[in-house]
Amino acid sequence: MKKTLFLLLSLWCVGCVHMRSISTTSIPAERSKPVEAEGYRFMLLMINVDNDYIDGLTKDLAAECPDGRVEGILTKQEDIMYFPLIAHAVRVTATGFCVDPTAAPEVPAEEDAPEAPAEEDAPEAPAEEDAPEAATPPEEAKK
Amino acid sequence: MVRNPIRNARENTMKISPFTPSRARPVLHMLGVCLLASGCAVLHSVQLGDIDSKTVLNEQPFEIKVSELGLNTEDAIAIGEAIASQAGRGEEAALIGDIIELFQTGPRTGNPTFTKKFSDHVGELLIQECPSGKITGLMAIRETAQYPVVSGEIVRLSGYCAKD
Repeated sequence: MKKTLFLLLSLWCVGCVHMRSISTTSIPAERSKPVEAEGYRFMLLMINVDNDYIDGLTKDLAAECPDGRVEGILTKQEDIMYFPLIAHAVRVTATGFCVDPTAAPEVPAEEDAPEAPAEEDAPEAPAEEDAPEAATPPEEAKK
Repeated sequence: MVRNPIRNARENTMKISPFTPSRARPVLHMLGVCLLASGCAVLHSVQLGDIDSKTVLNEQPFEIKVSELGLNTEDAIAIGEAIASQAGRGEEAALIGDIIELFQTGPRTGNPTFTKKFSDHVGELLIQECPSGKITGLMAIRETAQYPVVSGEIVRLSGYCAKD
């Protein structure tokens, strides 16, 4: 009896999650406000009649960011097995960042800015020593 | 002759119950037909694009669905073998099935289809659906509607079109 209970508890505690698919869009510079939406379907005996549970993901994300844009959306689909054959589930998670479209674009930081040409690389001005004789002061030229 | 009242009650119950063998058969048949007809939906992948919230919250969504008939080769081969074994050619059918299965290897979603181009024109369909081209909240779904032997291999696009 104890062995059976232990076995059942072990099986109950063990769950497997498989990554089915993942995709992402371009990540924005402004990432201060993350948003998330989830679609979940529990399947008894692996029976699933439709996939309508993911149709509301877009609206859910938009509702969390009503005045802006949701960018950098990471869409992740996972298959979850709670118990072999009997209890399964599918979870689709979409996470992104709410971006204010009216916000001014950020000025690139100094590190990212293109470096100004270094003095060493700049074309050297002709040094006085190397200057041609014609460049001598007019007094010497008179002599 | 006095009959046992308990037995009488049992017999009456059996007569009324819908699960008597004679009544259960059509019910089970109907249940089987319903299960076969309903199919099973399998989600292979979901991809969601950037969202302009104002458009999503104010406009009506559109949906484009393209699909192609898929064939479950394992089921088809099993049926073929069963038929052939009645004619005494089960081994030959099994050999043909093995050869067919050899060509079905590799990564894939769903069942093999008879054409690989069934989803190539979704771009044109998107332009038709949203001539302005300002599509937001585009969700691309790859799914399968599974039935015995055959399946519907589906590519579904849903999104929102911003007006000019």
